[in-house]
Amino acid sequence: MVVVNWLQVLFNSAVTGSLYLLAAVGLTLTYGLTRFPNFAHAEFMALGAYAGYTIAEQLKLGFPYSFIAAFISSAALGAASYLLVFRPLTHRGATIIHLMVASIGLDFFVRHLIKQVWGGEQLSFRMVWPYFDVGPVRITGLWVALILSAIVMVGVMHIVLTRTRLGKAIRASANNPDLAMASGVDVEKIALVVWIVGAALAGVGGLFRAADTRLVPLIGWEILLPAFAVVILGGIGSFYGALIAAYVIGLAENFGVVFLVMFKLSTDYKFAIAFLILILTLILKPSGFGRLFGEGGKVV
Amino acid sequence: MMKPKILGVIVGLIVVFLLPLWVKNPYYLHILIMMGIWIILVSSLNLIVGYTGQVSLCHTIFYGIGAYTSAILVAKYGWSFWTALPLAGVVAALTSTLIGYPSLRLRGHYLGIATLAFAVIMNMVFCNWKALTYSPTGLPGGPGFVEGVPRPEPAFFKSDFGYYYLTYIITLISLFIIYRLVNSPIGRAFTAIREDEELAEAMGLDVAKYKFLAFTVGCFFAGIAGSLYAHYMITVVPDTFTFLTSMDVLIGVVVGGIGTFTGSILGAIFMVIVPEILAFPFAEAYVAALQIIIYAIVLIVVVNITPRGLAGIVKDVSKILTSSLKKKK
Repeated sequence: MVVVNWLQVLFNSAVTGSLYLLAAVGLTLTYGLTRFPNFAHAEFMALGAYAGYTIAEQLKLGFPYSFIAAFISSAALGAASYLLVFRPLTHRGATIIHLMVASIGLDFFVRHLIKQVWGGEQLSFRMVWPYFDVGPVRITGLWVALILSAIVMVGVMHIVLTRTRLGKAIRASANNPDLAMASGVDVEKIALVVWIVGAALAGVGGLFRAADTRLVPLIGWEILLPAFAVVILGGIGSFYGALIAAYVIGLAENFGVVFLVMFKLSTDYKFAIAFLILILTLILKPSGFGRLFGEGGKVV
Repeated sequence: MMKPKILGVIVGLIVVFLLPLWVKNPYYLHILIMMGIWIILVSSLNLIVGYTGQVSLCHTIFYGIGAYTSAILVAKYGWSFWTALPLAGVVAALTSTLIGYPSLRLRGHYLGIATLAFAVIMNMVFCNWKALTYSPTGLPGGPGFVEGVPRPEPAFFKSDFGYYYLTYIITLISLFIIYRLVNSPIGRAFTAIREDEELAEAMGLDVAKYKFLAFTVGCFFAGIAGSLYAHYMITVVPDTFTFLTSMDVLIGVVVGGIGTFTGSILGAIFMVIVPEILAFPFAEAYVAALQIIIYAIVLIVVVNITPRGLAGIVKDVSKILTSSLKKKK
């Protein structure tokens, strides 16, 4: 019988959930606004991670600066991809399939550009994080930083979404773009803002993942796939839905691994857990948690 | 005078028949064989995505299931290729009901995401069900596999030259069946569903039945293509059947032209040839990534310029040509 440190599993779930939340917020908001799954979102994470690596390891400037670098570089990539690829395409009346294929093309483009610049080999952060034990739970500084980032992000997003004109415009555009436009909201400007912020958060998520494990060109895809599960379970376009869903998926994945080990199955099936949740959500309740908050999940 | 369409088909058939007599380079022959396999893959996905409007990102999973079914039956249990080939299609079609049936209610990007998830899960199964797939080294590798996945009998098909003809015979039969299907009342029902599902339902079409039919038939042909691939490559590894390759097939459909018959053929040729052409100027490994960067640019540009794909360009050009010919008269 395997001895399981359940509290540690619980804490790890919070770490995983925070990572998926950072990755999924932009994905769900752009999905809700532009009505297609953006596969290039994977590279927003990867670019942030690589930019952060350069600052922290090659220039030795320390983690806070690499955090900023990840934020800015991914934001720039998000703005560029919206302005240069997706906005022109929607103007031409492209269908979902065209937009999806274009996002796949963009993903290839950026991934191989990254490979070209940083090489395809595995890289790892050499910085050492302080760690301490709380009861039976081992905690590292990196994990604390990750969870804190997620909390700060949720707080800021909540205030922006509920208290500001911008937030109102974002919610209106995600809910009904035509009506928002008729009410004088510049929907395209709102979409640009959402693409920039979503990409920047994804870049930060990618950086944390890279610092926690290692850095490979496919790192974005590793997070993108569970992030999709978060988006669907949370309800497409729903920020609060994604908030809950990220931690639900985090819990399911970490506890799932324990059960996989108990039943002597390969832990590679870990990601299958998120996907099983995804498929079941789509089949049983495609709006996910979105309806709970009266937003998202309205696109069928 | 003959109709240009029939003329085109006859010229195409003659070219397909004569090409290997002229092409001696084994590398080119390999590209031609892969092209034949990809024509089946892309046109069967076009049946699902292009004609019926169901976004599927798990097409290569059924390609993989076909490949594994055929390879295991022939290499491990000594069946004949000729029984394993149709069975590969049948097993692929049966497995497709696992995702095809529950996701009948889903549309557009929802279906795309569900099939993506299915593709990832199934690829994990390919990678981890080692007793069956001998992952990661792939079939052959374990006990019972004496000489790999054999090429089919008779001996003529064992050479690449012979296998070319085998591939194209099966490709042409598949194309013929798909062509008859999309130009039948069933095919018109598919298109009606793609254009407007509610309207099709209101007209009395059993939408669920037709969507299910398109999905299953498409996956059947993916299985057939998989069997051809397995016996051509002599080995099967799970890396060939990821959602990333499914995306390549989808790109083939879109680049060729969604919902057009010739588009699938052009799209398949594009997907096989363009990466190979781009590989030439960048032979050195360190710039190999440039090839994919250019490929991605080509892709975005093609999607941007012609939403109707290559088939649309061909149609426009031929229209201009025929009208200018008429003016001369």
